[in-house]
Amino acid sequence: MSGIYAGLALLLLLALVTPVFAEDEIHLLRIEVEGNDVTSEDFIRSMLTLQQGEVYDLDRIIDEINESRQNLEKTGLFGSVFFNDELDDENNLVLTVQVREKNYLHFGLSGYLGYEDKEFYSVSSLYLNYTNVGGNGSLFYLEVPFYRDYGVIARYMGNPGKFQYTLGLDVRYDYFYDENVQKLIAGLGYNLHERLLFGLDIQSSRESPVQSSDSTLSFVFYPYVRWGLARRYTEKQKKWHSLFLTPYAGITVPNRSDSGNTQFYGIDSRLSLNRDVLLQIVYSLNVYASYQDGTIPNEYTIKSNIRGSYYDAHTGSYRLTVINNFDFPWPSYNRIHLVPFLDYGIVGDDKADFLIGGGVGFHWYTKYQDPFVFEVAFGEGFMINLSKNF
Amino acid sequence: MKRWLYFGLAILLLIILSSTTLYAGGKKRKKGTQLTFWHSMSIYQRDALEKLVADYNDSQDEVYVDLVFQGLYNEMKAKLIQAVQSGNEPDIAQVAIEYLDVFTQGGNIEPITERITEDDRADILSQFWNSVTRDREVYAYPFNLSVQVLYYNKDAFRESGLDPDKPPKTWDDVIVYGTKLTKDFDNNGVVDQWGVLISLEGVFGFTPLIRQKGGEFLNQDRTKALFNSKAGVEVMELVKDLAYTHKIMPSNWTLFEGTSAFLEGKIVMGPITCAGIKFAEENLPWDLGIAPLPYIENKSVLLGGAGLVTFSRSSRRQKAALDFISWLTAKENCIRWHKTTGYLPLRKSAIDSYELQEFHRLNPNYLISIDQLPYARPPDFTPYLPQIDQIIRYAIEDILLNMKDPQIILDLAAEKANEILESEDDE
Repeated sequence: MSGIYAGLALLLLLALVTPVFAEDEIHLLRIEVEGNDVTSEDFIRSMLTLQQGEVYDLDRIIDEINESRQNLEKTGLFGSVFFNDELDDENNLVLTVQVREKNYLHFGLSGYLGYEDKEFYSVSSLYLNYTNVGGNGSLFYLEVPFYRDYGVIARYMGNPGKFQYTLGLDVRYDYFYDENVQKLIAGLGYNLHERLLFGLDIQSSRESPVQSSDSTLSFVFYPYVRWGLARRYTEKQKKWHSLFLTPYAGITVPNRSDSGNTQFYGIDSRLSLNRDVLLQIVYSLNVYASYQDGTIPNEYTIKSNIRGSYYDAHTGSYRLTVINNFDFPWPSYNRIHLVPFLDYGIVGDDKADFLIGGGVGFHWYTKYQDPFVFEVAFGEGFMINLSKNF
Repeated sequence: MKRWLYFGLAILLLIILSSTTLYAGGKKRKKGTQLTFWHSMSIYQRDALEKLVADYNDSQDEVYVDLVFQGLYNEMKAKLIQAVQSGNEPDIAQVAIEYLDVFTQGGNIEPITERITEDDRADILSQFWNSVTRDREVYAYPFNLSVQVLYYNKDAFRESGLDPDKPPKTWDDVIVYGTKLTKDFDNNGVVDQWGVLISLEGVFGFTPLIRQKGGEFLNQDRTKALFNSKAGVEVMELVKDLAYTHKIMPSNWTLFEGTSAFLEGKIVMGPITCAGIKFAEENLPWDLGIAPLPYIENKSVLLGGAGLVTFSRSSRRQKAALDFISWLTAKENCIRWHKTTGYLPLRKSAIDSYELQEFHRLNPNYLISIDQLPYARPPDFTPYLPQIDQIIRYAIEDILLNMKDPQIILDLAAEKANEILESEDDE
């Protein structure tokens, strides 16, 4: 008799401890991660909204998979993200997140060679960009100018996610102003929303003219806001745009005690509108508007960005330029794109220079350059441009 | 200052060299068995296939698959016949299901029925196995299979006051919608926007419509053409009426002209293979809608595409080839293939997977072809299908371009087809 009670008690116990799921419910037993040679598993798991041990209905698990996938894709670290589902013998779900990592190391030659006013000019540097430092999507950029300018430019952008921080160091000789520049940058950004980023960069830079013992030390505050999408996530997206706005204010302290401190301020902005017109042909319109006032250190002078004219030779306190690109993927090999462009705008002080330049670019998306850029531009002069903007 | 330059250069070179060495080490060309895989995938489908094969090559060291493009199905067939004659066959070839008979009847390929695993047999849908089965023997693994669906321009629907979420279900609906959608915007007497275009591409365009009328293209023994039956004639009358009575379809456009017009938005609706959905969604400037192929009386769509055939003679190479094919058609890869091309997912496990259910929720256009599977059938196979296809193409052109009587022209075409089928019988 006591055996019956013991059996009943055992049955009751089992009924209490064994979870009972409705037929349309799914018990997510385990999440596994595969394919992450460089990216840390913790970083990938932090992007997942699914919870091990949770019970889901079909609608909810599909919603969660979708949200997790979007989080992972937006990091830009993966060529593809795949959620493989398997049921174990007890009908529990084992979900495997399979990621395909991209190549994170890009490097190449950057700079331009031009001819304007019967003079040749050129700036050349080597650059390296690693986009997954520490396996968490942090970015390291190193540029070594080796012709005309020379030195080292380094940037580190850590912890993309809600918060991101920036550290930077420039130690270089500026040929155009014949001065040595040392710069430190520290910044903190906060992603309020996937399309809205706020942040503040603080820069300090020392400019030391080679021909004199004078030098100046500047501190600049750059609060900024970025709204919209700087790049599209899928090719189904036909339109995307972004706006970047950064007012700034700085103070310059000379090393000589007989000169007083000076101030300067200004604003930089960039509006970018992109549209996939047809057959992956993308039209991009970029409008740059900048203004500054005060005693401007050379390092912060507004320069032209019209291709075909020597950037350093066209400066001023304001700039309004329009950069138009048409991006045509090569029909039989879409890693190569032909990019005709037309740039125009004004740069100047009291009297503005109107500049116009146009030409054609060849962009080759290779494993190590994203992309390799070769542009031929005609404006005030002639320019071969290899610049890959950071 | 220059020491910073040298320091920077040294660091940069060191990082680049160490990283490229590691990277190159991971990607070195594999040793072991090298298999040649002839394929017919062009443009974006080729990219998708190349990525899959590269993944396979990276995933193991024993087998390296060398992918070679050999032109579209027709060209591939010709090259394969030549290769078979000279003994230079590839290890694996992508053979259109309608051309499979050329090689089965020629004794150039062996059945692989016994080599198919129980899992594959149960998980791959029976319609797909049927497309590569002849006389109860399986000769290929199904791979890139598709059905026709109705592509339509949602923007044009909106502009004409039609609900873009309610596409036509029947060909009668197509006539009603087409009348509203056909427009001469500048009133110069030239139509600027056509309601529909059916490019009746021979057997592939004609067969499903005959079946929708309750007819068949060939008889069950494949000894007699049936496309000149009442069903066939009524189908051609319908198509002719779209052009000449209802005036909602251009009558004399080539396939190229039709495709260009569709891209430019000058055609609003048209039956096209589901294998083009990915390309269309990413490249068309207007909002693409996909609907099931409209029907006349019965629902029917034609299953087309290709299977993977192994020509390897040695058992070692054949095993390697089949292992690769099995990998390529495994659940995860058939999901990837479907998502990156629009071709049908082959497996029940793939269709039921959360990965695809999530994908279809966001991309409902891709689901339409799967919904049509219950009434999808392959064409009526015969080794002479290519020749008959040519005959039927000429007949359709004659009816549409020269406004000839469908019954007379189809009877003449059937006579020619029967001569060919009878010669097959004699052999």
